Amino acid sequence: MSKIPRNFKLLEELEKGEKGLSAESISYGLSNQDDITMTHWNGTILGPPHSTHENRIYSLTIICDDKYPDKPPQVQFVSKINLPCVDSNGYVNPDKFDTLQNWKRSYSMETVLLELRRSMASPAHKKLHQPPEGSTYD
Amino acid sequence: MKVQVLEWNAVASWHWDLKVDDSGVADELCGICRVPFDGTCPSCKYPGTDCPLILGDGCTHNFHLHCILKWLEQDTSKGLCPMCRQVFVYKRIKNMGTSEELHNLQVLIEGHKAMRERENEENEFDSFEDDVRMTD
Amino acid sequence: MAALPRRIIKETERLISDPVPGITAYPDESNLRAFTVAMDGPDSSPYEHGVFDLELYLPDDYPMCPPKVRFLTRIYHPNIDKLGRICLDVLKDNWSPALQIRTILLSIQALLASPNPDDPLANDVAEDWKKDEAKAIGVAKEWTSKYAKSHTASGSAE
Repeated sequence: MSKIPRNFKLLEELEKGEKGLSAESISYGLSNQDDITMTHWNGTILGPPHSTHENRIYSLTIICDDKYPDKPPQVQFVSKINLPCVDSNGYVNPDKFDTLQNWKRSYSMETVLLELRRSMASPAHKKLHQPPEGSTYD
Repeated sequence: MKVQVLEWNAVASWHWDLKVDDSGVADELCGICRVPFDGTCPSCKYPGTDCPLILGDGCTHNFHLHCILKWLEQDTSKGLCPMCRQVFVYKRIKNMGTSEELHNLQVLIEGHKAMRERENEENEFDSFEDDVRMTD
Repeated sequence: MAALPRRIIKETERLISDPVPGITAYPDESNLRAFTVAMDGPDSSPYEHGVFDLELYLPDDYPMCPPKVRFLTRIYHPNIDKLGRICLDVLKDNWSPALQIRTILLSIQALLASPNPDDPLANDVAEDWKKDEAKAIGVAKEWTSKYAKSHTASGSAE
């Protein structure tokens, strides 16, 4: 397998997101449709059922810098959430989140969002007390 | 002087026997991988009958078996010759053999044919529906 | 990384030794399937005198599937969107392995010479184009001088 360059990988991810081919429980897209560098992205995670996140929609920002996908993206929650891998400013701490820590080139923003959702639904985290719905980090 | 032959080794070369076109030149490169027909396609280690030449019938374009197989496996090929976009069919020649890959080639060609027929039927049905709407 | 297919090596050699007039394409040192392309805007088009940067990538399935190409320079054209994606049949359903990097680049250059607002990718641009072509061409010229490198400054002869 050859190495797909950053921009073409991001275009593929974008197309998958635009055509709605990614998982239903998450979504993502460019923050600014004019951003030819495709650096800033928005993501959402639909709170998993049977957890304290049920029926909530979490929004996030994702930054894919010029090292992506050789290096993982920077992921930050906009909606407040209580999850061990998320710090007090909403940043997902790569040391506490396996998908970012053991990043692989074949991963995508979809992988990150789905794995975060899986972490939210895990038996250890699904009953964590959550901040009021709709509150955000400033 | 007398010469006694103690040992001899025969050397032979071979090449595919290709029809020469009107201008007197035979196409020498596979239109897909751009490697000479006497050379190996990208999927083969050695040239030879494991990857015979497939001669277009109706069009004059020839390809390594593996190359045309890979192309016809794509839906986007629509079963057409890569060079002239006519429906691709190949010449049955003597001693062609009956390898599994030749069989696959035939299956792919028939698959594309069935697909085209189905599309034509659907188009006819659409225009039939239009006619019905117009008479309503 | 797997060895580069002979076809790609040959195409690359020819692109460098016998370049298409008005187009340069060089493989990246770190990835021989990725190319940096510079394309002159065609004469007597709104893109005249501009040099446009593009990037091109040959996926693993090439030549069974088309190269991926996009503009890096912003361009006002009904078939090219804000991210530089190009709407061109030979880059999608009408690809054939008989086409090559050079023929694809020529097709893109031809698309610059004759925009097709009836098959748009950038919808707002296509609408502008159909409503008032003269005005749209004016905007395209403006963008060319604003975003594209200047043809003369690049060293090419005028």
